[in-house]
Amino acid sequence: MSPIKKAPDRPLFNRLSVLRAERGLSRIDLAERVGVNPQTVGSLERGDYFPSLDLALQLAEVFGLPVEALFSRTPFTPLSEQLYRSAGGSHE
Amino acid sequence: MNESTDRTMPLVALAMGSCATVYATAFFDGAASGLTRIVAILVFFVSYVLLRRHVQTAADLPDDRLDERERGLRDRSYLQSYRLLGAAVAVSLVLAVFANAGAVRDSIGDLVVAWDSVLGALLLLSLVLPSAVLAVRQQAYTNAA
Repeated sequence: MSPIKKAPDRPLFNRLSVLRAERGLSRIDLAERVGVNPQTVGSLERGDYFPSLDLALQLAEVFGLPVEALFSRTPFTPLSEQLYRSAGGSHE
Repeated sequence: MNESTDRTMPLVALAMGSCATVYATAFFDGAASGLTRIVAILVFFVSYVLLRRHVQTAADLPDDRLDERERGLRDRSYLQSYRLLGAAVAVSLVLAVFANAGAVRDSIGDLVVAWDSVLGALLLLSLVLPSAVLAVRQQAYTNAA
């Protein structure tokens, strides 16, 4: 039995685990800051649970980023690739 | 919310098996049937108490002590258990109509059904279903982790 109903045509990607690691936050820390169970943070990171607008905005507030920087309908580009591009592209 | 342990599925199976056994005794007569019913009810209550303990936090905490995922999980579990109970009642009603139908009596003779067993099984089911569905859903989340 699946814990939640997912819409395969409307996936929701997120960057929570990357941002959390970048800020040195544990799941428990992040969960305390937004007032949820640490398991909920894990479910969010895995994409098993889609947050409410309120929770998404709280998460954005914790990271000091707009909500679209955390959640997207399209897969995020890996940060390493973004860094590589912003550093001047390839060494061709 | 306590979402761990490997005992969930065996407890759910035991509780549901007990309900099914009580239901099944409606179709058998005699002392063995009565004894089976008593044993099944005892097993049911033991498994029910253990299952209830397992989901106690999620089932009993007020809404403001649970986060939105946990509240959603509980709400969906209760809705699903209500639907399952409705299906079980519907099946029993069909059985009641079937057992009393003249055509059935003509073809296979009287279908003797102990309705107290059927009602008892439905009552037991109504008692355990919310906890059982919640426990299974919690387990699904734990397994996904």
